[in-house]
Amino acid sequence: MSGTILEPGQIEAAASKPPFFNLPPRELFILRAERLERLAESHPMGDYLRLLAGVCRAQQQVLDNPPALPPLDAHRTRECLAHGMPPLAADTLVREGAWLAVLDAWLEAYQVPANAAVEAAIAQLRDADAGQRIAWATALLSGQYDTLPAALVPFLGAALQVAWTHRALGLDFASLREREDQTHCPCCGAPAMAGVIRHRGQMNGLRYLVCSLCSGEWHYVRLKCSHCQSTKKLDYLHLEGSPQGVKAEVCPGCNSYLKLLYLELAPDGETLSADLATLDLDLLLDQQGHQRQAPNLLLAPGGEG
Amino acid sequence: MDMNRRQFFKVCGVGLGASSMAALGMAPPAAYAESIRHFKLTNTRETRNTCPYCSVGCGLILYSQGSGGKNVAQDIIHIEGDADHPVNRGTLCPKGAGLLDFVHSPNRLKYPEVREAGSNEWKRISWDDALDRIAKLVKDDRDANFIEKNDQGQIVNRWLSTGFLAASASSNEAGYITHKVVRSLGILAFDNQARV
Repeated sequence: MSGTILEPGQIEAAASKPPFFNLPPRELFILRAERLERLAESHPMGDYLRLLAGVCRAQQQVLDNPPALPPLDAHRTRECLAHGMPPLAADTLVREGAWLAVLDAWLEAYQVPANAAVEAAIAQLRDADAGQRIAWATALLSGQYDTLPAALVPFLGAALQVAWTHRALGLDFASLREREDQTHCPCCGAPAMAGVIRHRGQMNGLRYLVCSLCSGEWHYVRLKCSHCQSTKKLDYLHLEGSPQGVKAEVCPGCNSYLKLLYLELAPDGETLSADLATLDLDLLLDQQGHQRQAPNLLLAPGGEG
Repeated sequence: MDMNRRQFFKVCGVGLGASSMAALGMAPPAAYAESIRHFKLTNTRETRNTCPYCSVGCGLILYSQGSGGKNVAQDIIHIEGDADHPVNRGTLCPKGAGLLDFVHSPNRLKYPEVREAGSNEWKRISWDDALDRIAKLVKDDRDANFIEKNDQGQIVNRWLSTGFLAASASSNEAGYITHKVVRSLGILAFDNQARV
């Protein structure tokens, strides 16, 4: 953009390939919590954003002091990375249940606010046995929002996010090779939550898709539908002044859209919080008949898909 | 994970009543979803293009806004380097970075003009006049200066008194046709340059 400040490494960036996969920062969840708290001020859905800020704080505590988990199968990880399969494939690992220890740790860390509905949801989650928890988690990760109680989703989703982020941060992705048209997370195979257009240094102007589960980001060419890979006649719809720096990339081919966070428009933005703070855009796009594929694990949307 | 059974993440006014937000007693008042109806959506289009300035051919993203209709002319509001383009990886030279002013320049040539020999004034002419005039001048020059045979009587079919400059930011097909037209006339001085 005009008036761009050159960052160290930006000029030589042109001579090298930008990274394909970025792990989330270690302080991801506290960043989310702080951002959500700021966004909650004078927001029509402020109560919910504040609730989630507390959820994210507990996520950070678990990430900082994770419970002991059984080690991953090193052979499986190596083979997955070598053959372009997600090493932390959500659909298998969610059924293996090692993440349940993380859910317990999260329930331990979470300070339940004085709210009867929240207390009831936490109690329901606490009392559920492993089989029930795995069934709910499988439903949530495979996008069957109407098969689990909506009140549990943000808490269950939060625990799943920490579990996968913790695992991902412990893996070495050096042998991961870039693949074109990667519409699912190369780390865990989950769909993207949203996209982010970076604005600084080597990644300036690149679009990364942010994983709904592990929060890793992978490079995906801009001006291309992240669902059907069409590049034709994409529209970028947004509210006046694009609040929170969010625009929706609408594909007329498959009629779906993906929300994009333009960091240049909101330098202190963060994808998950920006997504939740701009649900008004989703409401409007739904009225116009556009469909959203990208899940946000901290919210059960409620509309029948 | 069975993608076919994945439900849409449907955030709608009615649905909010069944969302996590409502289940936890934190949904915004019903009037809120109603008020959103009146918000106006703006449409910013992003389009890939190639910088017209030089033969490097840097990738660009053009941002344009129209008044929403399908066939409304778009107004370009911003131009930046395309970070996905392998040639420039999002960077632009100072000339490329000033493209927006080039696009909106009041001095852009929008119609054919002619300055007659001996005159210092540019006069606007129609496209038909311009093309007729060019064709006539080209033919006159070719008729006067075309060399069919060299000193040894060998057929050479040269036309050396006219040169041709074509654009480099054109497709292979356009390049092929340009080449065919120019070479079949006998022109030898032929180059491509990007600022055309």
